[in-house]
Amino acid sequence: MNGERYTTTPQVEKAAQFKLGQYVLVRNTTGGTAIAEVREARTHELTVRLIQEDAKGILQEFDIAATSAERLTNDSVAKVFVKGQRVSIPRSGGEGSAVVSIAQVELLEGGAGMIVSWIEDGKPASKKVSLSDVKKVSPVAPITPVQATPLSNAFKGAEMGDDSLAGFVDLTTVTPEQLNPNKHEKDFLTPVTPETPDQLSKLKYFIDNPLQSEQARKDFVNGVLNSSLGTALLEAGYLLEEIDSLIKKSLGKIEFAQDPAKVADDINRIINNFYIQAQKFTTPNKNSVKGGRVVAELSSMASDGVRMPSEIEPAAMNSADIINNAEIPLQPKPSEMLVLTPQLRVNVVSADQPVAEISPFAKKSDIYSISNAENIIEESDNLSTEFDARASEYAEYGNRQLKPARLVPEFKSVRNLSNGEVQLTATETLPSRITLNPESLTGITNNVENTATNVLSTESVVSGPLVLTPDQRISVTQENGNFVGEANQEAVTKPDVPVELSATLEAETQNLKTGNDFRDKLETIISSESFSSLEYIDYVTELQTTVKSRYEQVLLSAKNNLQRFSETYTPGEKEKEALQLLSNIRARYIPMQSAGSETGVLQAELLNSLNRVDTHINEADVKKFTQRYSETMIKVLLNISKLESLIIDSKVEKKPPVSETYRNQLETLRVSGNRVLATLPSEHELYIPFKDLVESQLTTLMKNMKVEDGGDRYFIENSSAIMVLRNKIKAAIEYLKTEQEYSEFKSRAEKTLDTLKTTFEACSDNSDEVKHKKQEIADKVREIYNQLHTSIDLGSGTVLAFAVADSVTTATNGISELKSKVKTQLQEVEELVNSLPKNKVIESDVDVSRPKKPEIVKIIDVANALHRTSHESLSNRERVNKLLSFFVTSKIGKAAVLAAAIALPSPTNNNTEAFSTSGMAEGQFNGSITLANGSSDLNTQAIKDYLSSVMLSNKKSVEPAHIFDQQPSSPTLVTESLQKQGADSPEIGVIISEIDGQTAFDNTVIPIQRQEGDARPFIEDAPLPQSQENIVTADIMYEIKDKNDIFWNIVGGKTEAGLLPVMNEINPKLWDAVIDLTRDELNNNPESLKLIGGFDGTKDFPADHLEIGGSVNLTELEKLIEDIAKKSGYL
Amino acid sequence: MEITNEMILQASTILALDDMSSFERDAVIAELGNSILENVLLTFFANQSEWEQESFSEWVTRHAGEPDMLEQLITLYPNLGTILAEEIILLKTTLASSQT
Repeated sequence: MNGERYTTTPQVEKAAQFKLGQYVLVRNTTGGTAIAEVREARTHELTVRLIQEDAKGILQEFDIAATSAERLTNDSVAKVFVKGQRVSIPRSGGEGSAVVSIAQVELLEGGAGMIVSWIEDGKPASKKVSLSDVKKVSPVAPITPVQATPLSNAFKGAEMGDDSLAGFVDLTTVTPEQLNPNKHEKDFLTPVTPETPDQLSKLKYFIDNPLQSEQARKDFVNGVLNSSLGTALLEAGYLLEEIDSLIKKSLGKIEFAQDPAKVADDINRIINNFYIQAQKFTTPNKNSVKGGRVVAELSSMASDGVRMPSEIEPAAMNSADIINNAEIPLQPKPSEMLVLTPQLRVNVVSADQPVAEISPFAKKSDIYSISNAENIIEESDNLSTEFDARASEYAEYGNRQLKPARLVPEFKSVRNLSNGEVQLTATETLPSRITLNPESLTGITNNVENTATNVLSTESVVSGPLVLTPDQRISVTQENGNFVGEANQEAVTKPDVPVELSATLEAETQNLKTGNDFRDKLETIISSESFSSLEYIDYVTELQTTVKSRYEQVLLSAKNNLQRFSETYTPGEKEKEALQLLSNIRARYIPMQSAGSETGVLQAELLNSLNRVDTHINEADVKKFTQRYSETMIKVLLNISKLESLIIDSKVEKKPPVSETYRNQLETLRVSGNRVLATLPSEHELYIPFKDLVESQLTTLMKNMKVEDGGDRYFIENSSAIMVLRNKIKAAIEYLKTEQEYSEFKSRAEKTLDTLKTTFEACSDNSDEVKHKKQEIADKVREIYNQLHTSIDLGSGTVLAFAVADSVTTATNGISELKSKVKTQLQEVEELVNSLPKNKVIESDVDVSRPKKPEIVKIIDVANALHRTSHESLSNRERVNKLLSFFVTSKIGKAAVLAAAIALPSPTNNNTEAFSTSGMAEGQFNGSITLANGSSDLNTQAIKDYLSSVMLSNKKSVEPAHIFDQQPSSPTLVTESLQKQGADSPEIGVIISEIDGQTAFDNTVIPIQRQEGDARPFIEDAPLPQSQENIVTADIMYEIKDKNDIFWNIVGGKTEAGLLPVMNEINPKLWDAVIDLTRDELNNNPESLKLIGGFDGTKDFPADHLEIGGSVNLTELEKLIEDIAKKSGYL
Repeated sequence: MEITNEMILQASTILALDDMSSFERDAVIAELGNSILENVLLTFFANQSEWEQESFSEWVTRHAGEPDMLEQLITLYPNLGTILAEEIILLKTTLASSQT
């Protein structure tokens, strides 16, 4: 058991204020006080894990047995401390303010203690204090995880000279009593030793307790050790995604059949290696600097140029020193300058040490090469995924001290980095600063990689807005002079608020200002008495240039800062919003650049008006055009502002944890798994195991992963197992899909083979040459037959039960290979058969890869002849060729064939010869096909309509089903309403409700509308407009198919029904409210219930009971929601 | 001008797709579809940045095999639909002129 859930009494109402990993004092059942670590903090609930002293006096982490579980009372949670929190402690001159520098509670004589630091007589000092000494504490624990510099937080408060205790809160002191050691059985993975860094504690346990030979059994290693080790590795800083393969590559290769002692040795050695590796992530760098120490981590990936999260601890954080010496005055060295160049040369400039270059590092990590600032963006994309995955893990795991550094400068700085050099200069007037002295440079040379990374982690570029404490005011210099402002004054006066130095913020304000400026300017121009066309030209040009540059900036910023869905990443809400807005802005702005667009026309009109200088300028026209043009452009400008602020928001918002990404993945797996299952015949030998995987194992997993049931924690504890299961299911789905495809292919191939055989046997020519060929054909045909008939075995053996994802994948690949092999062989045979003397071959319908009907061949030839080569790059062509294979099975082919067929001239136009071979009677064409015969009056709209009717309309009515094999589909939605198509959108992009001088856009609601070029590939399963035909008449019915189809999910857009269009109009923040109100309405109003249908009306709260098999009328539901939302003012 | 379902059916009858083996039908569909689609995608990509192309490709990869993939794509990327229509019109025009 990993911790017990305690429920606090109502007095502790805001348990959520406690942070993960925080140490709290709790009172246990026997009345003693114990230190516990917060594992989960929710309102009214704290889950803690007790930390107790073992027999040797070392702190150990114990899980609380269920029997000892007790409600935490208000008193029990006596004190909480977080790093960076200000506390009042007894100091030499009486009580004074200090900052918690190491919040970890340690045992001291007579109770628990922690390390605090402060500034005394201008010098940093620190000591270990007993918890009971701490009388007062600042009410808020204001910690931002990323600290850009040493000496940052520890002295932040103290340094400001804020020694007054105003605003401090008195603690109801509960003196820590003797710890009352509970005699609980030790968990497999629990010890914490003070010497071991937190993250390594679990891993260290394996070192301290090596695997014994009797444990070196396969079941134990695979069942117990693997998962525990996985958790330990995760905590130690390994990437979640790499853990699996690490374990697989190492422990997976252990041969258990040999001497257990040797096996145990091997395993212990492997774990030891993990540990050593992990130390690199976490061990403080030994190159200590006088008065400070730069601490950072390296990971295994660092050597490949990928930087891992790093932490900079305050100088006094060397806990060992502090524990031994109660007070250590720290002496920061005076001003030195840290110069970071894009090539990651670290030049440390000081009086006695001019420059040190670290070129080897630069060589190793070209990722860091900022020399071409533009390139960075591309390169850092993968990097940032890596980092963000990592950040999520940490956020998830509660290791808040670590946050990845990302080498993505703010967009402004990226653009302006002409020579790529960023200089971070400590300002002279500040008392404490980054300190790197010559000693550390020796370290740099000796240990280039480590130190280089450390140094860079210290001050290069951190993810998110650069967070600077007041003592780090810096100026970032670049070629054109200073551009980044000093830390703002307001923040300086609030020591607890990290100063945000953000170019984007500036830019945003700038944008708003610009928008208004332009408007003012225009007003001035228009209202000016004399009319000057030049002024208008200047105005328009400036506006255009400004928007263009802002647009480019925001695009760059978005690329640098926003991330799409990926295997390991789920964007946060703000991020999603930003992605959508980005898409809208692009869709709005790009068309503006074309001459044919409204803006283009406007511009042309304007220029025309202005150009008529000689003759007559129509002032009114010019004014009108300028005004219209101006408004359009300013809207874009404001949208850009909005996007910028969203980007900033998205950077600081809490990102969904990795578990969320996994939930999404599992959901996707569930959908595709069910799809495969539906098409899999129940007599299939893999049906049962697959059904079990999808319906039992996956469902259970998803249930366990549910957020509300503590799924995040479940995920952490079982991440290895979850990954294994996920991969298994993925592989199984892939396998079955491939197998199904193959079996279709097989039957086709067999037919083709038969035909080929007949053709070849019918050839009567027996000349030597033909004989030889025939022999060859016969051999090949036999070979193909053999191939086709031995293939079944691929799926057997280990694969059968989908035991191991890897072997399933191997089998899948095997099938694919076989398929392509047979395909090639078939083609060869076909060519051989075709090369047989023609007159001797009986004409037959040889089913081979190329169609034989002349009219079709002609169409295809014409289509091929249309191929152009000029307008695309080689890489585009490669990309397209790759993509084409994905389209083969789609209806594009059918649509194209049909469309082309219609284009054929009708027989009444003397063009019947094209059809002569098809044996069609002329009469069949009479008057039916009215589409023009390729004449100039071809109606584009008609073609478009046709396309949409073929592709979008109800299958049964349109698709000539008897012609084509039915594609598997899941037409859960009988019909679906059509959302506004792009062309019909009255307003493209984000609607800016009212533009006045002050608030130009609605801050909260962003109605997203689709339009030309608007792509939302970022968001999976985005609701799609469907049939155009059924919008008006038919109500949309949604069939309840599974347990996931509950009311809440349907309205929230989490089912296959997609999101109801009306929800798009409602601020997502209000969704919950809307859903609740709608549910109340349904529960209380039988009429609505009946109208919508699908609910079990006999239940007390029918809205919570949707019956599987029933149908919900989405149209009515939407109406109801709309009514409710309108009534509540949400719409 | 309206194109009815009957017309579509009839058009496919003209091509005698019914009479074809499934293999040949697939071949027709694949070959003609690819031929048209290649141009469509190339044209579509010509105006897209690398970033957009990647995101498009990623989407296609993820949704490959879904029977309504194209519908979804055209909805997500209205431009693609336009280009497709244009491509088919071009094919038709060329076909018709080559037969007159």
